[in-house]
Amino acid sequence: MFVWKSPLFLTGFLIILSMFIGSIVYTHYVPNEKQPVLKILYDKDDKPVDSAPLAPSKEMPFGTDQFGVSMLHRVIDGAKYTLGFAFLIAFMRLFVGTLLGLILSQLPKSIQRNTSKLFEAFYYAPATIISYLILFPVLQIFTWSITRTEQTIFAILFLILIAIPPVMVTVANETSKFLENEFISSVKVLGGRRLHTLRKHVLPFLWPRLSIVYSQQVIATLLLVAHLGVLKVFIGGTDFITLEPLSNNTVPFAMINEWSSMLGANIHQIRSNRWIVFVPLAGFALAILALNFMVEALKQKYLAQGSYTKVRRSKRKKTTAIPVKALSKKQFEKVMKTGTDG
Amino acid sequence: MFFSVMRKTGSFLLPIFGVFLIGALPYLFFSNVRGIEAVARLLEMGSIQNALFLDQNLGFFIDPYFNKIGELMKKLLTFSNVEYYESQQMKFIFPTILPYFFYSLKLVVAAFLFSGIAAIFLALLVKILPDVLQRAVRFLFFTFESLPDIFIVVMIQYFIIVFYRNTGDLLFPIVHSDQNPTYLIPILSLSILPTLFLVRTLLFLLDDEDSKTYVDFARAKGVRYTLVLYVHMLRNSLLSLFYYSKTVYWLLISSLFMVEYVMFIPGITKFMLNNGPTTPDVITVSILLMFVPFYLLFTLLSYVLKLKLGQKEEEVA
Repeated sequence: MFVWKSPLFLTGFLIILSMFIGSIVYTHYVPNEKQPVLKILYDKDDKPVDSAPLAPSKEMPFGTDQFGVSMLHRVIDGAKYTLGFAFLIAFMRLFVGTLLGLILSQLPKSIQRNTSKLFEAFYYAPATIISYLILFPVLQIFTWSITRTEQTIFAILFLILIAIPPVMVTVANETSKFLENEFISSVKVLGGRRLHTLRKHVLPFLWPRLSIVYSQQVIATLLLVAHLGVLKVFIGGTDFITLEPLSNNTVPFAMINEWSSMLGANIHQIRSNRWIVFVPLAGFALAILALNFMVEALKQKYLAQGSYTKVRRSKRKKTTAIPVKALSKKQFEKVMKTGTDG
Repeated sequence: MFFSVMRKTGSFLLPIFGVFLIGALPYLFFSNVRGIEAVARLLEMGSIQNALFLDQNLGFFIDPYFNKIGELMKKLLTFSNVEYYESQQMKFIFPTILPYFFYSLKLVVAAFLFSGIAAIFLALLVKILPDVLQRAVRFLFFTFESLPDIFIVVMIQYFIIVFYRNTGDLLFPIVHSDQNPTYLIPILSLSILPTLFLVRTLLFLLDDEDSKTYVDFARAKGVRYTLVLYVHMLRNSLLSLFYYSKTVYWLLISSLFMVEYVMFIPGITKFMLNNGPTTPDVITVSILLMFVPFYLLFTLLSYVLKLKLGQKEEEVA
């Protein structure tokens, strides 16, 4: 529990926790029916001066979207969905990946090597595009033959599935490297079975590493979801709304205030109504920043590998030179004869 | 001898086979991929607005999946051209994909080189700063590295727009057009995250080098620290830096999509996104095109490094 003393870890943890819990508590007091809406802005003489989307002002600190809903409300309300999805997906990735990885680590070396080679492509292929290819038909084309719940479950399952191979290979490599330690053969000699070795020796070694992998997976999920949002594939489900019936201007619109859909549906508004894009983007940036703080602190603690905050040069002792005594000729001769000048 | 060569080739080809596993994924999950393709084509033509009529089952369809992989492999191994669908006609993929591919390749290679050079400069600069300043700079770099790529791309574009609004001259073209292809800004935004990653890694390696005895010896002889740093420590840690080239490639590939999408660049990811839904084969071919040259390079590189440095496989952080 030493890592809790690290200010870097605590900062990140508190930011993430307050975002997630704060969002849940906020929704309890301000549900979506009571969301602050400001469609038209009046000046002092009750003349309408501006209509939604409104720029950030005193009443609407982060501005409003094109329907006049406060961006502040949407971003706070959305935090629990986005972070919740990310936590869930990363947890499942890690759970299944660790199980499979532990099994893989017990198999012969050649199988391990070939499996990790085979799944290398999963690491280097652009995950966004593959997810788009699979999720786009489900979430946007076949919205009729597949129910809403099925769509969301399928999307979550796929996002879990796509990262299981890399996690599995990582866990298997770590474990088999650990199993090469000399004391493991002593464990075997003393009669420890495989399950005993896994439970008593491998898992305690693996926990801190898994906590690092977990945070990294949460980050990866957040990034992937953000990218998918930009491609108009929304995990929380998609509605189509027609803005102007005459010009056939139908756009996908998110059903819930989830960040990636808030970001993705409006990404090209950056030139006109930039706050609509910047608010969810800032949410993503802050969440990922906080998670990276946690990763860095964990790495420093457990892997002794953090690098940004470690400065070895400063630790080098600065020794002050011994001041040179100025000797008179008499003292010098005495030193030459007796060895001391005293 | 024969068997060992076979095994070597086998393990060399496995990642390439993995790409086929990825490319055929739609066939694993959908009962009716032909239906999806047809609907995507009709949607592209504009003859239908939605596809509410089509039935689709989700599940695991192992047989069609492996059939598809076999079919596509046979096609590519015999060098017959893969057909794909674009603007209401079937086209051959092979001359058409090349301009897209080369554009992306130019961006990635340039970003690769740029980030390498920039990282060396920055790391050396950071290393000779006074300690207090150094700690602040390192923390700043770490913070920037933690930002999502989408944030960086959007911010760069936005700042150039703001600069244009305020001063009236456009520093660089921020959006691609055929008359005016843009290179500088995409390369810059692509290479920011890899540069920061490489700076961190190089600093880590240099810190490691710091504790070695030859540095102390050189210092004791009166050689200045900067000289030891520039000549000896840099040379010793540069080779190890190549171990991380895979991670750099991964960073580049994952943010390539974002850069191309936001700046309207006709690169390989745009080709994949446009034609992937209508023909899933496009995905496999594109990933192979981007993956194989780099894979060959990395294999060669790791072989050379093994010869130079001995058995010193380092896990990439």
